[in-house]
Amino acid sequence: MRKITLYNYETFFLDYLEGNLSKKEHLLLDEFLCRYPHLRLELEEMDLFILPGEQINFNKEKLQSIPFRSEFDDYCVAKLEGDLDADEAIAFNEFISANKAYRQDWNSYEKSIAIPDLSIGYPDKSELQKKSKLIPFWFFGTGIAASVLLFFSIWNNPNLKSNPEIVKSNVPVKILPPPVLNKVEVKKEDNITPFAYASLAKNKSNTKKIKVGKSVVVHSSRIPLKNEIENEIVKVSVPKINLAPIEKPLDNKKQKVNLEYSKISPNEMIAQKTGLNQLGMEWKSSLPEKNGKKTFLYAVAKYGVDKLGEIAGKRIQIQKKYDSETEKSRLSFNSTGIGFSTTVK
Amino acid sequence: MNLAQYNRVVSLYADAVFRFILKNLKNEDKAKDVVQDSFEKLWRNKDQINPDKVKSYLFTTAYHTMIDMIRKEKRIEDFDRVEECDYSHVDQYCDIKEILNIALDRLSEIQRSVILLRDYEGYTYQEIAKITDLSESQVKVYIYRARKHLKKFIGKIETIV
Repeated sequence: MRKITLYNYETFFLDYLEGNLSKKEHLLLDEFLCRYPHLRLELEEMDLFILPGEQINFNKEKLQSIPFRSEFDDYCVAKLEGDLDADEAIAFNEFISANKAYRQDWNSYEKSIAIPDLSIGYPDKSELQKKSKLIPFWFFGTGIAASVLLFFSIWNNPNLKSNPEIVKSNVPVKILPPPVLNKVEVKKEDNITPFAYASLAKNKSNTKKIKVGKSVVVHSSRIPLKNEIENEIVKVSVPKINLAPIEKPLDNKKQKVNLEYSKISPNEMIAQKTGLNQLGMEWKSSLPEKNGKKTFLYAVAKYGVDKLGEIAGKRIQIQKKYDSETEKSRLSFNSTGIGFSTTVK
Repeated sequence: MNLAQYNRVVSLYADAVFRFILKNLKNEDKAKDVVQDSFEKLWRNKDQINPDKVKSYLFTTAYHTMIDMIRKEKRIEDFDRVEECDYSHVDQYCDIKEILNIALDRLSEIQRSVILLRDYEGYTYQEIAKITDLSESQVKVYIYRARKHLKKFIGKIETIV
């Protein structure tokens, strides 16, 4: 049996309050309280804290129901927007059916759905629509005709024929002595191009002038100077010009050949023959590159060439390109197996 | 998108875009201008636009063009503010459609736009968010508030009538 002391009296007090003490323990507790009367007050205070029993019933149905009443607006909007799941939607419909007070509000919500007025439409849709570009019938025929004309004009273009270029080689070569001079009479009207004068007049070696009556015969390995002909002081005879044959490069090592082209362009030569040039005037194209492509004649010709290509089933191209550096336009014609280009004004 | 597809888009959506803008601007000429601008932008960018998203692109462009126009005219109001309804003069309206139109007019620009996109075109919250440059939750909030205001207005009018 337990003994009550100052160190364990709390457990006796608690057992007493909960009715767990035996009769003998009750007697021991009474003796203890007589011995220590100040602890009786402590026991009485502990007794006050015993809570009376309380009957609490929890509303389980409330937990199970959806709060349609408190959040009616939210559920109405959710229902309108289709955000309710199937169970909620059914429960909401039942709630509305069962509660007339809420039905009117719900009807107002239902009426807030905006329905488009299909009678309203854009007045003239044709002004919004785009139409494909119509190419007039005459453009087709004209295009082909222009391209044919262009083709022949390129073919007969004098620029294609007079395109002399002089090539000077920087490779040191051994040159044979000039051949024996043959007298050849050169008349003023002979077609010696200015370019040839310019390039060959510098060579003044091997020239002999012999007076024959009023004339002077010039024996030379070069073509005579322009003024020698223009002044008509001489009947000039020049040798047949045979370029000295090149035997072989002096240096057996591989030489890098730098070809130096004449800076006199063929167009400058042609320009000298034009009427404008005779009047002391000249013409230069000022068309920028982009606009150059858009010239009407070129556009028509291009269209014609394209159509010819379609008919022939071949790829035929005509291109006009403006070179801003040389200020010249160049027309190129390309097809399978043939292609040429020329400068055009 | 080629020419034929573009013209088909015009046939399909020009009316819908026009209705949407007209409902917001209440001015036929301005609505036409907005629609024309939108289709011009569509034509200019036709090569970059996914054909499946043309409708969305059109509405987005039209919406932003409309907002720009409103801003230019300094008619824009605080999108968050909804005017309190003045019910005093509306007792002559009996037709619910007319009442709804009045109610829609009383919504803020943004609320009206989201409601029209939702009801007229059936766009999802996400799509509306994309068109109007709002977040999805903002769209929901605007729709919620708009619905409440519409319901309040309609309910009140019906009570009066």
